[in-house]
Amino acid sequence: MKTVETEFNRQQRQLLDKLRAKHGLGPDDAEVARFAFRRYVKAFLPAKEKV
Amino acid sequence: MTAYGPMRHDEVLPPVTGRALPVYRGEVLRIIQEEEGGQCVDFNAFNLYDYKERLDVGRTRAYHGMFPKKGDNIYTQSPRDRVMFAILEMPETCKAETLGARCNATLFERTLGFDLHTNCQDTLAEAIGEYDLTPDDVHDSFNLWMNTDVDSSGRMTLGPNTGRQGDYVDLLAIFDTLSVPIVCGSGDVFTTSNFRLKSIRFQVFEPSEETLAIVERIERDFNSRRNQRKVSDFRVSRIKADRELRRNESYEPRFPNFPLDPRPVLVELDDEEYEQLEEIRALGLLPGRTDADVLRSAVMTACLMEAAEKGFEFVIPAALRE
Repeated sequence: MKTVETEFNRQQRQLLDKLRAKHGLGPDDAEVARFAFRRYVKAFLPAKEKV
Repeated sequence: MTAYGPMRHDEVLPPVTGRALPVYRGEVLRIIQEEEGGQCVDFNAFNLYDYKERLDVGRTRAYHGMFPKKGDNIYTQSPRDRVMFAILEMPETCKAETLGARCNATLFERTLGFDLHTNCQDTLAEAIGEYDLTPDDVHDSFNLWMNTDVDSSGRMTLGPNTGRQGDYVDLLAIFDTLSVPIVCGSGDVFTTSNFRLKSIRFQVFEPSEETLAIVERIERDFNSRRNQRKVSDFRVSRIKADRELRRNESYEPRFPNFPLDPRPVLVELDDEEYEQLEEIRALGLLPGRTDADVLRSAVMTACLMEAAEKGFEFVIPAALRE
C-alpha cells in the first residue's frame, strides 16, 4: 500500500462530484480519486495493447 | 433533405464583389458555384441586432476541427459562443476551412509586390459598409471551397479548388443575422480559385416547419447554456466610442473562481495500482513527473471520459476515445 498526496482545486472537485453522483460513491474525495484512477487504468490498458 | 420555404432572394455576385444581406432565423442561405465551379467564397456574419456578436472561425474550429462539414455548426465568438448557422448541405467537393483567415491587400503586396490586388478584407469591408460597419469589423472568414491543409511542420498549404459547377452549401440561420458572402479575390494569382475569378450565386429561402424545428432543437440543445454571455451579463458593456485606450483606475478585475482553493487529498493505492501509476509515468501517457501529478492527471482524464457530452469528445485524449 502506498499513500499518494495529490491536490484538486475547486473546479476539479466539481468533476469529482459528478463522478461521485454518477456512481453513488461516498463523500471522501480520496475514494472518488481512487475509483477514477482505476477507471483510467481500465481504459488505458486496452489502449496500450492497441499501440 | 430538409424542406425549405419559398426562395425570397436570388443574386449572382460577379467577381470580385460581395453582398451584406439579412438572413433571418429559420431561413437558409444557399451559396452556389456558378460557371465551371472552382471559386472560393469567403463568408462573414453578424448578429443583426448586435454587431459585436459575429461568426467566429476559431470557436468553430475548436468544436468541429479545421474543416467543418455537413452536420456541423458555425459558432459566434466567446463569450457569446452560440450556434449561428447549422450546415445543412455541403458536398464532398466543397472544402470548408478555418485556417486561411481572409486575404488582404498587404498579403499580395508582401508576397507578390502588387500595388493593389483584389482581396477579401476589402471586399468584405465594402459590402458591410452598407450597414455602417467599418473595415475593423471584418473578421476571419468561414471559407468555402478553399482547399487548405496543414503540412508536417504545421504550416498551411493551399491546393487546387475542388468545387464543381452547381455545388451548393446550405447554411441555416439560428437567429437573425447579417450574412456576407463574397467572391474571394485571391484566386487569379493563387490556386484558391484555380487562376480564374468567377461569379457565385446565392439564394435565401424562407423558413419552413422543418427548418424551424431544427432551429428549436439547436436553441434547446446548444444555445441555452448559462455561460453563453449576453450584453446584460457584461461588467463593461458600453461600446467604446473613441479609439485611444485609457486606464480606468477604479476598475478591479473579478477573475472567475479565483482563488482556486486547491486542497490536498491522500489517496491509498495498493501495490498493483502503484505499479500501474509508475508504468503510466514511464510510458509518458499522461502529463506529470511526480506521483501527485500523474495521479491527478489520471483522475481528471477518467472524469473527462465520464463527463464529456456527446459531440464534444475532443476533450478526451484520442487514444482513449471509443
